[in-house]
Amino acid sequence: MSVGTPDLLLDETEVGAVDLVSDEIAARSPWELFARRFREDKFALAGLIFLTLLILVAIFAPLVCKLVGAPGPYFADQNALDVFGQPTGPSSAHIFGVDQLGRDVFSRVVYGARVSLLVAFVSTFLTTIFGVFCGLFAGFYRGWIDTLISRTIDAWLAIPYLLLAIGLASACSFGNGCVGGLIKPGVPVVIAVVALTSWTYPARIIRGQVLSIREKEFVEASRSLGASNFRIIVKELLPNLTAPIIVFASTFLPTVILFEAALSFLGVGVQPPTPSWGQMISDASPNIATQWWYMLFPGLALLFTALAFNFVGDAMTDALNPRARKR
Amino acid sequence: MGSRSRLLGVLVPGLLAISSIGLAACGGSSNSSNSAGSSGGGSSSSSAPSGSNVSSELAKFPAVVTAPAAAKKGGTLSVIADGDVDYIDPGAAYYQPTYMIDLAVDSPLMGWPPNDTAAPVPLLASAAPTITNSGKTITFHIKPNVHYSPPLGGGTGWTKPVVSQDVKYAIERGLLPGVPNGYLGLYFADLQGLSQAQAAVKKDPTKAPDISGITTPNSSTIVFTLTKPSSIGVIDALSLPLSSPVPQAYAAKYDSKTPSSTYGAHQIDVGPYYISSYQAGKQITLLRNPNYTAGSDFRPAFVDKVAVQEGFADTNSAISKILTGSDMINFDFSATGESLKLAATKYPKQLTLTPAGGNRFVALNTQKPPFNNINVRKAVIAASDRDALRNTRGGVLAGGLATHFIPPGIPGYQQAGGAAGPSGAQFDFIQHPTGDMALAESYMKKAGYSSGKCTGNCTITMVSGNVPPASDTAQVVKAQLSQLGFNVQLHPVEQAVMYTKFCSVVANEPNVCPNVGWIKDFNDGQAMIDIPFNGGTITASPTNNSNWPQLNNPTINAALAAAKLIVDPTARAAAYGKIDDEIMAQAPAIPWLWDYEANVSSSDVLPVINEFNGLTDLAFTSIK
Repeated sequence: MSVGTPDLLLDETEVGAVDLVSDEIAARSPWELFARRFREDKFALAGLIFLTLLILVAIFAPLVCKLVGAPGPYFADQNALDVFGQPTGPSSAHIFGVDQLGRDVFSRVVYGARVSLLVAFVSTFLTTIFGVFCGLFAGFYRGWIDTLISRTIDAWLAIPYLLLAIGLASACSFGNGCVGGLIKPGVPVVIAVVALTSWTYPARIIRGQVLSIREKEFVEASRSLGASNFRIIVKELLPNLTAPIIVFASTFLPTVILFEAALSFLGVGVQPPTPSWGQMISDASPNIATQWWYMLFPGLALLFTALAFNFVGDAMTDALNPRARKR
Repeated sequence: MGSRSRLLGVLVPGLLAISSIGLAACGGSSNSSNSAGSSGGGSSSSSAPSGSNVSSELAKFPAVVTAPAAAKKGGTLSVIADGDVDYIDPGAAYYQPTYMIDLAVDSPLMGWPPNDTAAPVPLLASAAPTITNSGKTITFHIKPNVHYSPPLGGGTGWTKPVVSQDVKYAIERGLLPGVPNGYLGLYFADLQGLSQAQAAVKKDPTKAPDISGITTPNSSTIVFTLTKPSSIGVIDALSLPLSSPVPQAYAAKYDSKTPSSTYGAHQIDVGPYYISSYQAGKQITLLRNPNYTAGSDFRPAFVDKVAVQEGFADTNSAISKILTGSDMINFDFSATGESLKLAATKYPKQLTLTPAGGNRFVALNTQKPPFNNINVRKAVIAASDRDALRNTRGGVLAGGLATHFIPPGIPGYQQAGGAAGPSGAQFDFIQHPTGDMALAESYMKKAGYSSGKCTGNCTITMVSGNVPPASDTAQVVKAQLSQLGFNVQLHPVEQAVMYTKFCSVVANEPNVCPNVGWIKDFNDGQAMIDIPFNGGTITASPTNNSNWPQLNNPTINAALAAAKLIVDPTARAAAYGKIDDEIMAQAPAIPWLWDYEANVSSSDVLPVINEFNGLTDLAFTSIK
């Protein structure tokens, strides 16, 4: 019954996307068009390659460290500290130098990628799921449900999210966590904090989209054929929300990575000794003038990862919404 | 030393506990050869404690402990501070940086010249006290014609000379809830009539109660009567700011205020300087006391003005500012880590190291599993890499590796084994500075863990400070405990919270408190180990407990009770040294550092370090 995502339809500039083979006209699928448009963005491709490598490095972190000859992220090499107990810079034994406890910075950057990516993907997934759920219901049912959800979103948005995040992270980082132990200290706290403070954004976007789509003819047609609300939501609305969901998720990922780094920098994110880029930058900041390596490498990792996600996210936005691109 | 402030008395009222922070106390040894002659007789440097494993580092950055011959009068000394004093009121002050101020403006009965580490010398007292009645009666005579300074905050002040009744009142007001003195009940516990006075003040908290054990036969004599012959501890405690005179007729109206006495803001001083201006958290200004008679005591008072500037939270920058600036010294922070490296490598002549007279240890809660098993505790100590722990505070310049609890410079240190620590096979677990896993595993096996590592329910809790170097120390401890199979739940919190909510609250104490330690109030074994390892401390103060290992060993408790009554210095040192070994045999904690105090000064400052608290003595320091 679905007629596809409007934004994924051909526009008038993409006549070339239609191949003439013999007497047949073979239209490219929306995803083929998406891939074609995406490939046009060289920065996005570079970002995608970088992220692919990063994910592989994160998955095979022990192997990567072994190949480089770096010790594990928790091993404190006392011989790598100077007589003042201060970290030493890059050397053959520690290519990125060591931190204040003598731990290999390369290893911690590599293992820090695991934390960043884990938090980014899981948080984004949860945020998106919850936001889409709320937005769908608010936009589809309207009435008091819409009022309730929308006003909740308004109220939620009025809360200074960074302060809320710091408060939640502080409260849940002790003992068995909070919500009866559901939110455990460490990475789960950060994921929960991100999800709790960010679900309003996809909810608003999706609600707006649903308000528009629910008035389309194909939805009317489906309803007139006796489709249930559940079926309309699942079979008609959700497929047509794919583009905004993907756009939101792709642009939200780097935000989460930076948010996790910020929380860890402030000491309420991932707790030591678990490696985290934000925490490493925080630890290094008092002595940046003399221990540059300690901040530089996690900083670069954070920079390039966020940049890569942004490039990819922007390209996805453009590819999924060519009209917006042309504007 | 690494962190920003030294909130000793603030965090743990009644104690001079080490917070994250720096130790700040006297060092040197009672038997060390301080070549300190009289002031003006040329400078002398403190020597490292005899037998210490740390003397080479101390020798590289010696502290001047007498006034240099080249010292000149005049100028303004800027004192760079992170935080504030704990209390501006000398009756409540219990914080070593505050003592920097108090040593210059107050005159307790006894005092500590910078080069004196053996025993206090008369300051307000005209001579050493007379001890009679088998050590139960102590009689002081005070100097004549000592006058008070103009008051802080303006006003007419007090023009009459100091009398013995002023000293009696100064001590009695320490019982007022508005003057929260932290050590009166501790070191004056054997004072006759103290408990009655404590009861009286509960009925009327606006009036200082009479302590019947303190009498003043005349205006120049004050007599302390004790119920036990604990005169040594009492005389030592009379060197603390509490016994600096306060005239009742002047101060009573301020002391009657609740909840806090306002005397501090109107105080009158008797030292060579007086506090002319004070803004909490901002600045303290000391000027020469116009009513002070030069030469009336051992303080030369070179500079005209001392300006304490507070709020330098970035201590690395503050150290750099001092090293590259002029007329400056540090106050409540020491050079540590990177700033210590900077000072030691680029400005070595502007850095001094002084034994701080304190220790740092990782407390193992002996009342909870698994550390209620002595073999598990020994295993943890055997596995500990104390060198790695020391690196978190600045490496070899941070202090000597501790092998027991009484630090260098305190009587009992040598008797407890000196730098090498207690000897004998029963102490093998403390004899490996970088750890011995094989030995640790053998102790784990003795504890019932057949694999040599913890199996089963091995989750333990640890509460630490949340900023370096305390947080770094905690991470190292966690890693070391993990090697023995423990699953450590580390909870970093603010240092104050660590004490007030967890480590000092008996019911809430976690298995491990990695950032605790102790600093002496004065140079005596009692001041070093009686509180943190006496079982009586636990029950006496369950919500402000400083016996962090919760060690409650009847033999040790009895030995501590007996040792404080010993008058002979040699026997006393031997007794405390023996008790220190007995404590170590119980393995209640991992002692890992005997701190140095790393002070810095600008190149045009001639700093004199007072070995009593390891900090710069404002009354002896001068500008070139």
